[in-house]
Amino acid sequence: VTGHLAPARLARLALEPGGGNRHLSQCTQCQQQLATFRAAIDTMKRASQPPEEAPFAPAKAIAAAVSAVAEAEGSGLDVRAWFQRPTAWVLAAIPVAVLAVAVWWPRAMPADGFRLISGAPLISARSIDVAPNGPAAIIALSDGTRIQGDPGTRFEILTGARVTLAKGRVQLWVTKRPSSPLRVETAEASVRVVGTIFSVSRVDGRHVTQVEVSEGLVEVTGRSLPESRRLGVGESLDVAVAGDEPVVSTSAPAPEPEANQEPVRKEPTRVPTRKRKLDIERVRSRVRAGQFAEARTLLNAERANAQSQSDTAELDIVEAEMLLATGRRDEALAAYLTVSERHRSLRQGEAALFAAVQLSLPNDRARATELLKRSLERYPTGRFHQEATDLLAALKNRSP
Amino acid sequence: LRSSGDEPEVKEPSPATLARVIAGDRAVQGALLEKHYGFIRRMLFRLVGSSADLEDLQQTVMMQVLKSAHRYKPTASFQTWVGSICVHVARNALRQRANRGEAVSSDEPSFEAALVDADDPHATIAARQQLQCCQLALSSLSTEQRMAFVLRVLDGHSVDEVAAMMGAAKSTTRMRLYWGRKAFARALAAQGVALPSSLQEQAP
Repeated sequence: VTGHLAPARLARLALEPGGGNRHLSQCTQCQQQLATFRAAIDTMKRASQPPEEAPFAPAKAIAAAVSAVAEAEGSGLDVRAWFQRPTAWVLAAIPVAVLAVAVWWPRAMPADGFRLISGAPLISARSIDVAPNGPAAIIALSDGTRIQGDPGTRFEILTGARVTLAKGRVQLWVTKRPSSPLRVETAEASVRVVGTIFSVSRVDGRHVTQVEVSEGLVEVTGRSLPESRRLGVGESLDVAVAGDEPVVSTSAPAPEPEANQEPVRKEPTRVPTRKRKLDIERVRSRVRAGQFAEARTLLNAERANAQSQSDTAELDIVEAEMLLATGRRDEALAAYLTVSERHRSLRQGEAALFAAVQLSLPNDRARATELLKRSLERYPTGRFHQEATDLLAALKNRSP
Repeated sequence: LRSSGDEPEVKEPSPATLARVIAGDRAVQGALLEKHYGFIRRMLFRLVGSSADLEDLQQTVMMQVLKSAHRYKPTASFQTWVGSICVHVARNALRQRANRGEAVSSDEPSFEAALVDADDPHATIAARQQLQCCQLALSSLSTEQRMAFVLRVLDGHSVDEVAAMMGAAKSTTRMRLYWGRKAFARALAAQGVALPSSLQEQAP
């Protein structure tokens, strides 16, 4: 016989009563080890008897268990047993149903006190359908808010100051009520408003909701919008869902949303125009004196306090002048052109375009010619008109 | 392997008896519990492995038997059904004990009584060591493996009965037994139960 069985194997064989093995029949050492394991397991079996009890202990324990069960049954309701009866489920469902209806009913029922001002829409219990070929319908709510539904519009007026738009376009004149602001909801977006005039339109099948604000400020939220957007006067926002990618377009930049703030426009403190001009001139004088660091600090401060588009345009020109003074000619030219495009309706835009012409003249005559033509076309009665005409004529005479 | 000497054959309760138990007949309830008292006590002791809290666990099982008598269906024997309640109660007790970080002590008074050999003190010492090794090996098993192992190896129940008591499929029970046995044997061998030194060296 060579080698021996592993102890773990022998222990397993000890657990199996009839476990035979050819090696075991020949190896006495393994037989001894197996016998040792069997003895250990027998000892464990022998020791697995509970301790002896006193003679009357079992009877006492049984009596205690029986009376404990009898007392528990007599003392009150056995919830588990009660719920095993089918009628119990019906009885338990009744308060749940009552609670569900109590929560659903106020939301589902139309707002009280709304009346038709004009038009002939089909008003069912919950929804208002405006005929596609008929006149627009105007509905007045009890608080004075008016809702105009265009032809082909379907919307619902619900309590809790909620209007849901299924299709078409609604225009709203909302009465101010900060405590419970009106909310207009579509499949794509939700518009929250305190007091303003705005419209919400939705084309059925295109899944696009357009919000346009005529007066005041509204807050728009939607599944495709990463965060709520605020729209001011003259701004509009298209909220659409195209596959997984949200498509959001806006006609003008919306103001940055501020946390926990009611959608009320903040009026900045007005500073007299004369003082603002003096402040901007102070920046310009620093630039001329070559004090660029100080000029930059003052410029940033003035930008933060800018109160009009004119102020911003003037500061943009000062910045371009600073670039020119520091020898960054190309960057200065780009800055002037940006001002001329961004503020083309302001006199600063006209001045910036003419400054760009003067910067282009020494190195790039073609560009200077093109800019002069643009200036004459854009500002036919402008203050640089005569000068621009003369320069253009001179450039034409010099050209080969 | 059934330890037939331990457990006397218990007659199945008749439907009439069960009906009276469910109706709350205290005398019949007492008689029924008396028949299964020894079985409950032995089984709980083997499953839990100590006499601490044994009376409380016993009481819990007996009360549960009376409360749930209406749910008994004669697909298995009444004793197997009582065994399943014991398994459930013991499983909770073992989990609570594991959460408390308690281990089974080998100083049980019943162990002493079973191991003491008045004629041979050396045999008593050897038996105590063997028991300690076995208990350590048993404690290395998971709760489910340990219960399946105890019910099959120590209590001697069939695989079908073990599966019914543990509320598990037969295949699951067979797997638990297989892995339980393997883990127990490995742990027992690792303890080196009175292994001759020559064999210890040669063992792989």
